[in-house]
Amino acid sequence: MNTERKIYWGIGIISILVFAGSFFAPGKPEDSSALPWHIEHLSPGVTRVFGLTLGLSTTNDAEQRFGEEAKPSLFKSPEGSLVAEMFFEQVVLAGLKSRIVATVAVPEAELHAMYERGLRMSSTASGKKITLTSEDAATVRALPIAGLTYMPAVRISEDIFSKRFGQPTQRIKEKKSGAIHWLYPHNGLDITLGGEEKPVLQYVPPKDFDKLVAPLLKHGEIIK
Amino acid sequence: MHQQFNVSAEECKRAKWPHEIFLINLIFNHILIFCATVAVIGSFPLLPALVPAISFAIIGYILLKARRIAASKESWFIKAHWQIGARRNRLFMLLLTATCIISVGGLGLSKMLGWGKISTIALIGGVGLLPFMVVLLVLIVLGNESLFMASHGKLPKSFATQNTGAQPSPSGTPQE
Repeated sequence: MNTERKIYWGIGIISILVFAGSFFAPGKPEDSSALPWHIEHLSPGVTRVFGLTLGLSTTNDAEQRFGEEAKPSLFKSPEGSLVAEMFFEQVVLAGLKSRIVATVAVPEAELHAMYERGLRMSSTASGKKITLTSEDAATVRALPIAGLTYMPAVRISEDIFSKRFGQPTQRIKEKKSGAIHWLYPHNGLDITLGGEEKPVLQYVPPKDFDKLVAPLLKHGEIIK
Repeated sequence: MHQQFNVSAEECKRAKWPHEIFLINLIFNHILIFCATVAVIGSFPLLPALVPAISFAIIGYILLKARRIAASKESWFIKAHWQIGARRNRLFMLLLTATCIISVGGLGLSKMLGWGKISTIALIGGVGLLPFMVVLLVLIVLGNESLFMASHGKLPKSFATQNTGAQPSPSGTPQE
């Protein structure tokens, strides 16, 4: 058998073996940190969700983790409070498509300065949206994440939440919308279920959970 | 577009090899192995590098062998087909090198600038892999044509016109 024939058959056989082998190759090991119910408690009051430590990881870290570029924005509520957010339009975690909003821990004085420097303002259903300057957007990217809002693209039944997170410590029903909040203070988690609506999971460090619950108590009623 | 030569069956068989190896590289390595390695990229992220590694080895072999054949006492017809194969492989090597640079450079740039998945895929796929795949298909057609010519004792007319005068062969006499 000459060299050319050996090469010819060698490549042919290797190709078929590699192609057949690809069907038996082990799949990518499941990343448990990508699951919404995988909440790690690093120390009292400090949690890690989706591989991001709330209060420590930055939105730069989140962009790396999610493999998506986030859109930074500043929001002003009708009451006048300001909040900086990074919006991830499409994130795929553990095979589940979702949208994620990261609330950024920007000092109050800096928020006002950013508001003053804002490039454009538009009205939204819940207040005003301010477009940040590129310098301010870079500043926001380098600051730690204060909380995460996870919005899966699919409806998830209450049974699944009960199975994965256990029974909530408290349930609060919003008087206006009728949405029910399942509260897990030890995990810093608020799951909003609105009947036919898709669920919304809000994660904050457990030490800041009271701040999250206060407005709910004000505008809702405890049902359990 | 081509010229018929009076060559033996053995010469035809030997003249086919550069095109056969070139085609098996394009079809089996660049399509079959590439698809298989991309399918398991999650588990084996470096496996797609196997494709250019095999390809460069095959191209290197064809180029070296063509040089050796050119200096040997092989018939002019065999030498001509190895030269055609070498020329095509040299071109393919440049294309493959450019694609590798774009792919590796794109990945590095994406990591450095923190680009999203979609932008990275758009750069590597759109600028690197898509044009490469188009040229690959064209080369498969050309390779098949050359293989057909080699097996039927033919050469492209332009190649034959340029080279017959310079290197006449006892067996490679053009037929009228």
